[in-house]
Amino acid sequence: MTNDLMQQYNDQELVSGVLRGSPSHQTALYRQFSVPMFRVVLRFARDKAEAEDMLQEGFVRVYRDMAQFRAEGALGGWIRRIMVNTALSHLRRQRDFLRDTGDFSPFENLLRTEENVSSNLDAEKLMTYLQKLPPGYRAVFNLYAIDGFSHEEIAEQLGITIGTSKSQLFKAREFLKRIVDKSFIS
Amino acid sequence: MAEPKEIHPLDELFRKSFDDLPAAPSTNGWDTPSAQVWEQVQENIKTPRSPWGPWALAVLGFAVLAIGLWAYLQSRPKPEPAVQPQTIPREQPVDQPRTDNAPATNADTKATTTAGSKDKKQTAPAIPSQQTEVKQAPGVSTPLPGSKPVFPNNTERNKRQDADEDGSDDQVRDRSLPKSGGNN
Repeated sequence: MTNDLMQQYNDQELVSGVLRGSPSHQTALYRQFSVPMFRVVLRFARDKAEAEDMLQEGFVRVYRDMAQFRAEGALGGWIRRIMVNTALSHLRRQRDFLRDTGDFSPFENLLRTEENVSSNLDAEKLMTYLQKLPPGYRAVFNLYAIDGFSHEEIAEQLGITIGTSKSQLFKAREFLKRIVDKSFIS
Repeated sequence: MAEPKEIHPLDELFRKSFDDLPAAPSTNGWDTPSAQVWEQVQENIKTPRSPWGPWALAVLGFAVLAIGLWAYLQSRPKPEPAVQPQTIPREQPVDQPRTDNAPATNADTKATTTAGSKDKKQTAPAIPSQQTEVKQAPGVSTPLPGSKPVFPNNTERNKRQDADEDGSDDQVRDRSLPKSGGNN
């Protein structure tokens, strides 16, 4: 897929083209939104392979449900909501993904081995730290801190109580704070 | 009522870091999906998922079959009703008015009703002349119903016409008719 040769379309053209089944519009839509949406699902996944599964499933839903898109908002926002929902349904298929295991060994190992954790806290590093959290903590932190959902909405989407959502957010912050504090100390 | 959202500095750090990412993918490719993802997506969106697609095809096929069968039945020739061959005695003369109990044909019945009951002898049903002539001709087989009339013998007809012109009908008739064995 050569980016330079691809034609640029606006939202309306993309939607109508995809609804017509035009291959060039389908390709253009994927090319335009694959990278930002991959960043979204990377936050919910434990690694790149799982994120690619979520992205593939999400884009299939986007093409399949394109007729349901109403041009009240941006196409990117609609696709982002589909990606978040796809990532959550992907996580829900994992057994006990919200169970509080207390197993933070991957995160502790990361703190011990990463000597230059403070030197460059860019998005890629933060993404790596986020992916080391247990899946339940990661999901609640993503939904609350980055995607802007309330605890009520998170509880409804994940099928948990509001108290569980709050406690998982608190624990996620505690572990993330340790790595950020370490960056400031060093 | 929902609680006011708590803004934590850590949340802000993560959110700003992800939101401020440039549109272009990173050079080391950490935020770029592999090419297999698009290939898999393409395979999944190739086939249209219409729940009534197979049913529509089945209904369409059935309709085509039904129309074809109907057209075939319409194009077939209808079997003609069986015609009972009429048995008419060969010795019956042509010019004799029919007074027997022979069944009347449709044409005869129609002629009878239109002519009224002025003269019962004239409107009496008669055997079609073609059929009678064919029956009387010697050596000619009985024509099938609906077939064209065939003159039995052109030579005899020509002789008869010549005789009419000469005015010697009686002589010609005597020559042409076979002589009967009886004495008159």
